[in-house]
Amino acid sequence: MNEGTRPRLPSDAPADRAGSGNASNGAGASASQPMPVPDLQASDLVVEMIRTALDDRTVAPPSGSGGAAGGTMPSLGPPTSTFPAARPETRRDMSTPLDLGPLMARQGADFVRHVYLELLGREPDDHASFYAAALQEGRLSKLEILGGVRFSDEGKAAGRAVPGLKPRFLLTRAYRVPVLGRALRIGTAAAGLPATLRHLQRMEQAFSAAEARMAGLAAASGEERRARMDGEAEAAARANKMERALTALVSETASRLDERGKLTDDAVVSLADKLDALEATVAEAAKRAAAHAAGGEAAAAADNSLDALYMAFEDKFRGARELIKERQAVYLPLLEECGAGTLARPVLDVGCGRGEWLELLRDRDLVARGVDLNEAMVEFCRGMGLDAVAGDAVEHLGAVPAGSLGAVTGFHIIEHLPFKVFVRLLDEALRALAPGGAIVFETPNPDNVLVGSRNFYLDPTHRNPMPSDMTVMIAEARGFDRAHPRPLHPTGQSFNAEDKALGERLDGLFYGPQDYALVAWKP
Amino acid sequence: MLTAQVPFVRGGAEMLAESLAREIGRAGHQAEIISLPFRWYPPARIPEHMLACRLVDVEESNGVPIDRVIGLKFPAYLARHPNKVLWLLHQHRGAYDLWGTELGDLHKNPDGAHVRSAIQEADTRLIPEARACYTISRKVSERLRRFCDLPSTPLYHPPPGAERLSGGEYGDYFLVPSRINRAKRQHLVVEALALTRNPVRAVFMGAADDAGYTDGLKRASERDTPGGRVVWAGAVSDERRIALYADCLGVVFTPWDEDYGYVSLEAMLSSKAVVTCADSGGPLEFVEDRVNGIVCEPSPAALAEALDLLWGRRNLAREYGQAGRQRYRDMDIGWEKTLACLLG
Amino acid sequence: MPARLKLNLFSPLPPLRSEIANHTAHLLPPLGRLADVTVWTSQEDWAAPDAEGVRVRRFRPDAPPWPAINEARATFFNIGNNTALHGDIFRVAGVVPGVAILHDTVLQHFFAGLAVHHGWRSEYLDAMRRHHGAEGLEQGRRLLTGGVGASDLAHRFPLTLAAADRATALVCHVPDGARALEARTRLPVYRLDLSTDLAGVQEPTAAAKTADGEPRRLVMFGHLGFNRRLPSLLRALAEMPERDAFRLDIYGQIEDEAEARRLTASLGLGRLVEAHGFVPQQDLDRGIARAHLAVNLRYPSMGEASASQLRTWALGLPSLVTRTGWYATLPEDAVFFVEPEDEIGGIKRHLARLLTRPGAFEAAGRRGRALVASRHSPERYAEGLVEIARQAPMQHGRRAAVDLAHASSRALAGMVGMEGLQRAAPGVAEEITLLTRPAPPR
Repeated sequence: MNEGTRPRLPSDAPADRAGSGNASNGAGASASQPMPVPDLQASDLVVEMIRTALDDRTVAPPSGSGGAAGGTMPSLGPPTSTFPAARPETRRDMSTPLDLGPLMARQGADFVRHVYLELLGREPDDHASFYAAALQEGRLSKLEILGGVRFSDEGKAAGRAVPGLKPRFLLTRAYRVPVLGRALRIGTAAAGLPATLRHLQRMEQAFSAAEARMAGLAAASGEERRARMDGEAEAAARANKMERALTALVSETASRLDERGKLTDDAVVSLADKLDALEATVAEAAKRAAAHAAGGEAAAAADNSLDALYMAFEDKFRGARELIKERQAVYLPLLEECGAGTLARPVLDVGCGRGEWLELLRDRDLVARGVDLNEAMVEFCRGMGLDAVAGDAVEHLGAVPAGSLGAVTGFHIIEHLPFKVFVRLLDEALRALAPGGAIVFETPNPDNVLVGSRNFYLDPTHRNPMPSDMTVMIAEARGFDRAHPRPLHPTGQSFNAEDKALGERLDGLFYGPQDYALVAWKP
Repeated sequence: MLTAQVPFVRGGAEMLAESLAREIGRAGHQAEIISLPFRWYPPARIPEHMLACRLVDVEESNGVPIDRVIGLKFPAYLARHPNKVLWLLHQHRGAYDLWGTELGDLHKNPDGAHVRSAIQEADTRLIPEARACYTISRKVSERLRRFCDLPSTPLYHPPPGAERLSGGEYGDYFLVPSRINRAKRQHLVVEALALTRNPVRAVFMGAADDAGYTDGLKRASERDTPGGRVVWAGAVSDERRIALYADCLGVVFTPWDEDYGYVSLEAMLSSKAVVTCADSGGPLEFVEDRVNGIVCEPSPAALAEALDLLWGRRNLAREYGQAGRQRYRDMDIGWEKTLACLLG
Repeated sequence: MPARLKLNLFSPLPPLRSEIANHTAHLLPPLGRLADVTVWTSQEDWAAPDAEGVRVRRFRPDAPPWPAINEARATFFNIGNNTALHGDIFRVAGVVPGVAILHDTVLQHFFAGLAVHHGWRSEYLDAMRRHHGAEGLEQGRRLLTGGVGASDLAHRFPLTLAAADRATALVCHVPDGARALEARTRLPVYRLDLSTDLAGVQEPTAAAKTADGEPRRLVMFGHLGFNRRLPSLLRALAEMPERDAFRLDIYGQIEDEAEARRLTASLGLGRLVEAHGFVPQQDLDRGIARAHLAVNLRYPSMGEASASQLRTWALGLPSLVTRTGWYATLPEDAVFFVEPEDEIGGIKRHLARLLTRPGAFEAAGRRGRALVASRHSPERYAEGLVEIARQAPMQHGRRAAVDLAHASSRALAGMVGMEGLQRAAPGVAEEITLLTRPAPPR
């Protein structure tokens, strides 16, 4: 299953190929053309089979008194899914941090068993055979299994410290590409050292920026505790948000790592350590905030009434309906290009809000449906005779048949999503789109520093600014084709600088496009 | 009968196997359906399934030899038997006609080409082991010839309950039978109805496989063809099904690349004209353009034109329908012939 | 005339400084004449090949476009010892069944590099265990803890077949290596002669050489790793009374440059040796053309065929090689052999003869050039690859057979033990053979 050829064992040394083509085959001194290959005989395969069985036996002996495998009792699963029966183990000291090195060197069921022993302090149960099989088939990596066990309820209760596990687990999970069986981590490498250094530098910068952002958030949360309108529950929510922001940062980092791929392992570890420290800061801030929190339930209850608030907010900041529709009309040619808006290829607008876009499409006789979490918005749309449903965008998209949509659109929605939800949104959209279908996700453009540093935060429900190079990269990583940012809405102002070059640069930074749309096609 | 089944999924293949078993029983033989479970993913497991089928021993049972094995589906038809006959429903389509298309998935896997090669080579080498190779339709035979360069003979069989279908009135609606999903392309019909010059009426009959698709169709028909011109009958009883066939003006069946398709046969048995598309596959083996129906381009406009034609000239609809009934008779589609081939 | 095949070739490309990249560049024009070729690379920039029928596509190792890759009739992977150049390629080769072209047959350095520098530790240990048993595993652990180096392990634990875990066939450039592999795998093993392109390479002219009476020029070039024997050459030179009659030009990167400088100085050879570093191809060719003898020693051999050797011959230059590995198979009249057990003595004897019988050396250079033209042409190599691609169904069948043998033996051994397996194996193997043997040509 996992290899074609096994090492020669002493028992089948030179005789096993006797009769099936000798050394003359393919190795003639002057032959350049490949030689005919002798037919594979059943006898060769018998040898191969015996060898495999012997090999499995010598390398992973089915031990234990229960005779789970190798005895006369037939075993039900593949050999790797049967665990050796309990045998005396030296009692684990759960209080000392776990060194991952020796554990990672273990293989298969043995690895899983030791994960259980080290992290839970007990022998594995039935669920472990799931892990072992997943490991063998390449569905899960060792890191994912470690993380899965450590961050299970039981693992959390046991609380064994595993330095460096959490960030690495998050990195692995956030950027797992499902189609690749094994999560191998090999550098792209081809371009050599100078590029490596360049990327390392870029990473460091990203981290400094991230740290600054975290510090800013922490400070902000302190301010808010004192602020009248926020209250203490809000401060707790803010702390909570900081944790999510951290997760997003980690994922973001992971994406850069995978994309650039040119970091050495040492760099990854050092970055991971930095994250550890960062995470500790956040945890501390969260603890302090929580001490002041009145209670979490209030926040949840307030969610629905916040819907109305959000609508009011939108009214104030997103401009008049006609202006919005005028701006959105730029996407109509794109819909035409991908044949979206017919009965066979309708448009789905996630986070449809007050339905300006849906209305625009209806005016053009295009078939579209909107989905929005905010019930007030959905009512509003229905009142205008538009097709809108209340619900979670990703869930709704997930229920749409594969290959059935012409386009998935979303205006000022992705910056409200936790990072993982954004990735799921992309995945579900890719699944739901017909070939040649497109996504259009418009979002504030943090390349404009006024947007990135100030305007973005005017909307209290925004989570993370989404730089276009990041969203494009992720869309491509998830399987979209021709992903690109489409810059939108420059302010039209400019600096009156003597130095023209400087002026242009400043214009780009301050007065450049305030929004952009991530546009990408399903191949 | 050797067939493969995806557990908990029942469809035409299962019904065919059961019909065949019943007919063989009526002919005075003992028949048993042996169903082997099949999972087509991950692709690396497909060769293992194939080997498992090879290792199934159906040469004798309880000391009594099994005289004949009829292989129906991949990979079950690979089992060994000295007296094996194949009646292929289809091969593993992901390795053949669906390879590289949106409907297939094998080519999207890293080992896709490898598994495809393993399937094609095994089929090409082992299908000729059988004493004879039949298929359920010309379409399936064509694919076997095209991809494996193997000869086979199409062997048509009657749709279930064929004897109970008969002609009735030529009423004021077209019948659009079959399960509702994208491959059957009912949206072509819905869009065509919005374009007809006459107030053409249609009854869609069949369960919704795909709720989203069906809802979209219903919304569009409410918007574009209001006033009860479109009726969604859903899944209906057998009696109602027969009655709807009996009294319609004609039958509309516009799938994409259907293997066989009972609908065209049922229409012909009910003496109805069949409107179908040039890329519909199976129906084209039975429907002759302007003889017993209309074969048009797969576009709403072309379809609308065909519907208008029959709606406006009801005698033509009747003429085509009766020609269809005659054609069914001429083609000698019946279990006697099928059994004679499979058991002979 | 059979239809044109579609082929995938995963390879580094120029401008990366790699003999394999250059080899591919030479190969593409004739290959493109015979087949539709897609070259897949993960490098960010490449020199577009000047070849009809060839296109280059970039792949991302974490998300290769499987449908596009699956369009080809056959997929070839260039595997060599450089982790940076071949790591991404290997990553795809690990999941796509295809033909592994082994430019080196000793791959311990490659896998150790992946383990140490790319976090591939458990996979490395797993490969050591599977291919070299308990002792391999033990030594692998030692390597990861720094107790032993890859060079120490390379020949006892070459890990050759770890590159073929999902392969459908192997291509090897070295006869001995092909024979050794055949004994250890059920996969087809093909041998092709490594190729180089004579086009654009000038016939050697006497004018380029220094005149009689002036020093004889020796040249070493390529990636000068630990097994290129530079210290031995320096010592041999130092021991020769005629040493002032020689000059040594070194092109390319010297792996342990500081040590080489120290040794040169301490032997008092500073005046005779010049290290040029990396230079453009035409400068290198000019440097080689004016030399009288190339020193192309290798010990131990990594089981590679030498592109440098072909280049040397293409320029009509005689050469010193070690009688080991692929080099030992070269014709006696086209190279001058140094025995590994008498290295310095051998070098000295040959250098002395270079002064007294230059004609014999010039003749060897001419024979080398003829050899390249006849046996090592890119056309022949391309024809070989296409022929291998035509046999793809058989190769896929082999792979499937081996996989099925493994899967069924595991299942059987788990249910009925070794004895039961031995009874059941012939019947099962027979069915596997029937199932996987390719259909006769149609």
